[in-house]
Amino acid sequence: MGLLPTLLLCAVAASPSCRSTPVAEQGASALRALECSNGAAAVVEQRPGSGTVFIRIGVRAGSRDEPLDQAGISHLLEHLLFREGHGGTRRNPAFSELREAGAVVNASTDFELTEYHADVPADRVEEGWAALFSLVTGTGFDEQDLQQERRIVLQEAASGKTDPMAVAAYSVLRRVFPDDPLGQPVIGVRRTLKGITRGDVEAYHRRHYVPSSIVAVVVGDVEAPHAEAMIERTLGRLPSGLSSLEERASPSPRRRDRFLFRTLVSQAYLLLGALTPGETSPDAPALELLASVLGEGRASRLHRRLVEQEALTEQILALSFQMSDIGGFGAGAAVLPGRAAQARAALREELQRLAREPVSTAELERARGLTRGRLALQTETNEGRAAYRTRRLLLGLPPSLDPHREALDRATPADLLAVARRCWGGEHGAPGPVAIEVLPARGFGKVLAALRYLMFRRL
Amino acid sequence: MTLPAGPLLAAGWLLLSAPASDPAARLMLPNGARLAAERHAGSGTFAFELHASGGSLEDAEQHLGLADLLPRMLLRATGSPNGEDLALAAEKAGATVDAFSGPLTTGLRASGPSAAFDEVLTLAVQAALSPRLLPADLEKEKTLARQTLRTSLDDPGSALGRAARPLLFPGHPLGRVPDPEAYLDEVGIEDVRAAHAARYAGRRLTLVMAGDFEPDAALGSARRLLEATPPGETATPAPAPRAASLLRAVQRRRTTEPVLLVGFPTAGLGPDAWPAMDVLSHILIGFQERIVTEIREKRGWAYWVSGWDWRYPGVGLFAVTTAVPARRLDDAEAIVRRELARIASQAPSEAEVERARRILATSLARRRQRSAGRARTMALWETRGLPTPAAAAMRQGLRDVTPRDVRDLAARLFAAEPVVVAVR
Repeated sequence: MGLLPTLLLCAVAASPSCRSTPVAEQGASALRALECSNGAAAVVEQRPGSGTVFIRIGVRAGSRDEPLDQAGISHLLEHLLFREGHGGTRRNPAFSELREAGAVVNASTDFELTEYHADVPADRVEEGWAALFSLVTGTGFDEQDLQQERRIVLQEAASGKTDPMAVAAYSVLRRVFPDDPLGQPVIGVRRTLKGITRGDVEAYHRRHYVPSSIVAVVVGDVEAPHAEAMIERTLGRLPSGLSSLEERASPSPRRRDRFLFRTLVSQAYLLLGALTPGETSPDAPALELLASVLGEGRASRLHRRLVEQEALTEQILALSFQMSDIGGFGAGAAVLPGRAAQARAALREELQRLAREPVSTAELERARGLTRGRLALQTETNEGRAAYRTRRLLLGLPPSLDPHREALDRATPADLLAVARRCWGGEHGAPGPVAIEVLPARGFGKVLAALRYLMFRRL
Repeated sequence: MTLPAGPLLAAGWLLLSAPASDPAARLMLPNGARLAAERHAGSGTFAFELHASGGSLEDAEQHLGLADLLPRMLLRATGSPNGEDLALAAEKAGATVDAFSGPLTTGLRASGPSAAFDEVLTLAVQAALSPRLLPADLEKEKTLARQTLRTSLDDPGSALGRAARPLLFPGHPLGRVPDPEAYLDEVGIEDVRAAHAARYAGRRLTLVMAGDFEPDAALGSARRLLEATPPGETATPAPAPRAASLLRAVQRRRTTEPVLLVGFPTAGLGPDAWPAMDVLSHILIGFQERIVTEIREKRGWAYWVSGWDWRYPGVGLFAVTTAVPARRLDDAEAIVRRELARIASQAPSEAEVERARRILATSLARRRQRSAGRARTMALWETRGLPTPAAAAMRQGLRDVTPRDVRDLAARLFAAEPVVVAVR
């Protein structure tokens, strides 16, 4: 374990450091929230009989928080925290301990969040929590680990570049958010990854992995008081941290109407969308329902039109991807290149229709039912419940499902229309939708695409 | 109604076993249809899968893809309700219904809040048993299926499958890959109707259900929906695989991620061997286990190491796949082959086996937290005509696996030369 976490863990206070309060939620029997005096927050939910306990530790740090010359450091750190060092004594054998306990373990990084999780057998919860906490707060990696993980991350990046839409998405982000970390790939780029030193990573860990940025969620076959005690004597007693975090700058996107990429693909990939105000905005429930009306399920508008009626494609997409203060809403399809014009027109018409006329009551009811059903299926598992509550905590939203369900129930056709108009209606100063297209290269373009590929594959 | 345990004939149907919850309550109808239901108390959800035996393995050469088309056509539903009515009714209640197809079976599966169970089950079973199967719908589905196949060609993962299958299973139905230029051209509506009549018959049907409901009531509903189906004929067993004659292939393709497959076709793996196979697979390709440690953790060559683990009656496959820089393909292959040879000659340590047992038991518990996970597990067993073991029996099966079992299984699976395919 690194020096700093050792010191932190030794700084044990004598008095209770976390305040526990019940959280109301329909159907949840023992759901409690913890607020710790050092700024950390946690949620505990008891689910007897589920057989495992899902532990998630989330850190409010992602690619948005990175200096431009250290793009990818959040994700690289996530990889490195699983490393245990080399030589005779492993410095932080947390990952090995989790595996020995029978835990299913993983982690992920996105624009605003890095999360670590372990699903542990119910009778190994104590050691599972201790190990995951040690994994997140310790830094056992050495220089050799850094070199190896850098190579692994570059391989991961190469994997991501096989998807034409992922490549296009990052190219678009770079153009929409120039000189902003939002415009950089979460995974980073070869140049920045090569320049990141062990000292950089350790400094990033010290700066961002502080209690006020950490949330913990424990869901499963464990007595709630037991789980609360585990959290209190570890996370609750971490010193507050050495620095206060800066607020994230408000993004300033640059406007373009169309992004076109020609490359070595055989199909046409089309996406039409708009920027949205983010998950913490009151518009978020309406956007979730609009995505459902548009493209979720076989009775959605895009499915009925593009699949059932026009038989253009069954590869359709309607998404509402929300970060805290900004997001995206879009409709997309993969089609034969010869039918791209037809698909392009259909996507545009359907998106604009949402901003032109209110959805019918029947459509809204279907979307509401489907959204509630999706929530019910997501929260069947300890993992699904923990993921939901972690995200809500990190966004500063209530961890209970009830406010979310109530917001979905309150939304009216007029609300959905107003949000669609504001985001992509194109009237009264509102922007129109933006098109992103990846099309097969033609003629000499194929040569250019091949040349780009030869350079690109090297990241 | 609580049904007694043990086989008996009552009310015109055969009761196979019927405990109140785990393991599943089961029925076999006089027409041969198999039903199983398991309560998932407190979940608030349901999931079911209706399987008809006779998947892609049964498609004639000129009709390759028929098994993919057939369940899609079912979602066009009956004349009334039509496909849109079906989707609307299910989705308004928060549920979804999807078609699936595989080498052994095709069918429909659904999941959603438990309150919607009866309505969705009725709609889906009606759609599966009395579909309208119109020529115009077939043309639409063929267009969509061809388009999906073409899009898959942009995915490097499909390139590996297309290159590997003919080598792994020469002359066997599993070795076929569809030709994008002629896909489904020979399939007409009469072929679809004939396939439906043959495959969606009593002896070929299996319906598994899990959810927050009374298993007896679920079985009763299912029985009423399925009992009038004609019995038909059972599915044709898959032929045994032939030995591969060509053992190596390199598929050239512009990609940022060269991939490697080292595979061993098998003559199938009986359920008795499944726990040992699970442990063997975990020790080889589990996170930070042998091959992952060698290729990823020690050398940093790969982000992922994975496996293809196919267990069909009479035919199967175990293959290790990974993606490494092109210059490391040969070295990675050597490592994989060395590790496979090592475990086939030397039993793993008790500590390795115990770690695998524990992690696999956790995975089992995780799967059982979802109604869909329970239904999927039931389908795996019931479609093979076998009763689904209770969760405790599955855990015990893992506990009973010894290091020697793992070595013996590896020795049997990895005795021949592997098929090696690279896409670069």
